[in-house]
Amino acid sequence: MAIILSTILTSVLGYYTLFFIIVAGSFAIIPGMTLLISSYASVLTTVPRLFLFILLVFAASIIGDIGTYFIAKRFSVSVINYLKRYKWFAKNEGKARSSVRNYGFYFVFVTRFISGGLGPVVNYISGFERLNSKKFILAVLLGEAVYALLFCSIGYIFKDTWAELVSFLQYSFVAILLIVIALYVGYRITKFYRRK
Amino acid sequence: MVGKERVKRIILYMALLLSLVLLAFVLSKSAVNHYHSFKDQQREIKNANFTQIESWMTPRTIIRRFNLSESDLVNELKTNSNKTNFRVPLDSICKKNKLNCSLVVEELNKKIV
Repeated sequence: MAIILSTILTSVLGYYTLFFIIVAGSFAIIPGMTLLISSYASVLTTVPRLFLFILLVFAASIIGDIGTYFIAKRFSVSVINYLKRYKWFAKNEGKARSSVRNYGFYFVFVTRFISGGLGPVVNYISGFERLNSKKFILAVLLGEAVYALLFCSIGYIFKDTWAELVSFLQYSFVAILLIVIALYVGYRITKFYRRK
Repeated sequence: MVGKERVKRIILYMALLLSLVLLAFVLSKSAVNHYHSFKDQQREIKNANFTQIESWMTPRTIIRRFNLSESDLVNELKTNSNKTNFRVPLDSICKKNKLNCSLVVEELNKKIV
């Protein structure tokens, strides 16, 4: 299945198209992006080509993420003002902003390679909540380096079995993230319960 | 915080916690299934019983599976080790070197017998 998918995709899509799809993947959720990247890597034939492909994925992801962040930042005031019309948002906006400032770096870093769906959402939130741009860019550089290296190498090394391995990693990463969030919620519950 | 509101908040937190744990459980189960499929595929590929060389195989696969020497293979492909890409299928190499692939495969099969 993996071999058929790689053959079809690589014959239909060129490198430029792939580059634009990866950039677009930072603006909107595109299902199967990681599978597409690993699939492409699986048909590469030499290490220098793999290296160039990793660079392409890395560059496209960074351009997309940073572009989304600055666009969101540009419209931050108008979007936040619009959302403030809702009571629940106005009430919790301060808390959300301080959370983004405190944990934003880690969240941006982790969501680069944890799941394709979270990346664009976090890009917009970081821009709207005006996360420090240096912090955002550093987290994006580190996170996307892990993403590009990990998923391209898996495709290249596990030529015939990459699809299952990529799915395994993605599910495991999201499960770990959920467990961490659940632990945090549990901690909040006990803290809240003890409070008089 | 008023008692009623406090209880409401705790119930909300508990519901959130429960849904997170449930979702994490479902995803972990899927992850384990994918891991087993991955291992199965690896085993299948390792134990696949190919008795003959075929044109879709790469030089790397042929050398590994049929214990054919690199020099024999390279000679048959009328090229040299430095020029040959060992991850490309035989038919592509034949096409590139303008060789009749079925003849090359036949010759290689004679060598492994």
